[in-house]
Amino acid sequence: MNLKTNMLLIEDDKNTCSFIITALAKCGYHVIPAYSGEEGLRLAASDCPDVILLDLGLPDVDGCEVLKSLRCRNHTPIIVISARTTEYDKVQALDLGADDYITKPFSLAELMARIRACLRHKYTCSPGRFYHALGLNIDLESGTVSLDGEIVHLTHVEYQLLSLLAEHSGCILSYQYIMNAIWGPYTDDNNQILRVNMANLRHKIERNPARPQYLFTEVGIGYRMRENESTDISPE
Amino acid sequence: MLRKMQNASGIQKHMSCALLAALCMLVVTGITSVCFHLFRHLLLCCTMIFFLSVILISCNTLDPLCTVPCAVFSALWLELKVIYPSLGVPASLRNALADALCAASVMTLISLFILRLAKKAAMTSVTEKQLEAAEIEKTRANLLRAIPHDLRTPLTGIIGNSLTYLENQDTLTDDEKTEIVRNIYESSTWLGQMVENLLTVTRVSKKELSLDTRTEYVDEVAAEALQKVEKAHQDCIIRASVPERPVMIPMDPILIEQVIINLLENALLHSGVNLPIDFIVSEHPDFVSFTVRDYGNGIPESMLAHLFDGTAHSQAGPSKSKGMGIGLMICQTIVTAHHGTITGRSLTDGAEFTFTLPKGKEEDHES
Repeated sequence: MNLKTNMLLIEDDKNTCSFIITALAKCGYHVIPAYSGEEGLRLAASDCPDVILLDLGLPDVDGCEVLKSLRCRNHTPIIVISARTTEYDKVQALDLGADDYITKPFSLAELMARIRACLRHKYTCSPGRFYHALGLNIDLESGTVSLDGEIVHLTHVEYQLLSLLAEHSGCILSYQYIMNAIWGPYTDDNNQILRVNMANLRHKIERNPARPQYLFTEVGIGYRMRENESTDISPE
Repeated sequence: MLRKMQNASGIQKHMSCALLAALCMLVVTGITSVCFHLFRHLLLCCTMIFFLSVILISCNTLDPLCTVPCAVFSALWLELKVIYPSLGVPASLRNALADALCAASVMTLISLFILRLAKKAAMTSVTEKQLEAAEIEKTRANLLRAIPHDLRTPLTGIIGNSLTYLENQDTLTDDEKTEIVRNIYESSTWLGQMVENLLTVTRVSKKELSLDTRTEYVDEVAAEALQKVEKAHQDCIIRASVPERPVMIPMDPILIEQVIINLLENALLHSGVNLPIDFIVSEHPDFVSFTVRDYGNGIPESMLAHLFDGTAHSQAGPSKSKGMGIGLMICQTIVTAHHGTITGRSLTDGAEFTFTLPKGKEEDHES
């Protein structure tokens, strides 16, 4: 990224703000703080940031309302920062249009990874041809998957799941999002078929499913794939 | 509706019972008249229907003032409308009335007896509920009592370390400064874990912990718990293994993660050594077992009997008191609510904690 990335941080706790701004500045991000929802909406409209970090526990207005207003306006990537750890709140935020979420207390490494994933999706118009991370290689055009040099045989559904996650690598995809993308919008609420396919996929791809390296489950919310290390972007 | 009636004041209660009884009698009378009109031979049947309705009125209203008139009315109506007209031989009305009154007395006695039994049962259930509520309060009080102790220890560490840093910034070496900040970090993450335990305590509101049970894959839950522990303890080595095939069991994933995290953190903090820890999930025919094995100092003899009752922290030394008692107590509460078992034992070269979760009904999983 040649230009300095502009970020808007909507967070009322000054201590949290200061450490995020300091740390992100070291990585070359310019962060504008907003200490209330109203200020945040105003600055989002006037400054057009590249990424928005939104804390759900704002003093003046419900974070979800701010999220809805921000989403109405444009498609700026929004990462929700939440102290609420119930799954319902996270799923709700994702359904309302947040691109990702992070739960307090979080490490900067996590935050950076989320921001990178969001920015990659903003600046890449079409998904790259290759996915590569550690020992996993996926050729999204030919549909081949290899792990540590050996070809992995997946069912049709398993491959669709894997390629969907690879296209959105680094970002959290909720169960609902994946169900809609693969099985269509008219499936019922039972996501059993997704869970079973993901479990089979996980046992095929991961050496030790207790220590996933590629496919991460956020229990009750969805799945996230390891960030793509390949820089190959297919031409328009 | 009946319970509401029983809680209402005296006169109101009697009025509503009487109304209900009257309504019931009316319905039963109507039904039996129609039946008897259509089928003249249903004598015994009609009698039994009335008897049953008097008993039901007695059990549900728990009011003798309603029961007795119903019994008398039933006997009279049966005698005059059903039995007397059906008698083949000519019989005097006086004898019929006598028969009716005898029957009424017997019916009254039986229904009053049943009423007494019903009242006793109602009282027992009220007492049981009170005992249950007391039990819950006791459990919650025990858990809450153990927590401030566990919160003060890390807080003392944070305050002490940060104050030391602020007062001695100029004279401390870089290594000392790093050590201080590391201590603050570790105490803070420990506090974070305590907060999670506290949240679990707030869910102890019924006799059984209120579970949000879903079917979850054991490897997903284990993986997430491991990630959380490793985030807080960067240098730890945990060897983890799960069953070969994906296993799904009913559980409340947030609570079970809490149990796994508590057991792993106990092993990391209380084993006394910096050796790797084993976390093994195995599948058995009817249950899944989760074992945390450390290769440290083991558990002192004196603590073994009190591992899960919340007093473990007071018997260990102050340095070892970081939350082992409360954590294990919460683990047991959660595992018991899942109808599982939890055990801890001391081995020659360390300690081992195992909890099991039942499998639930087998479901057919099709891809």
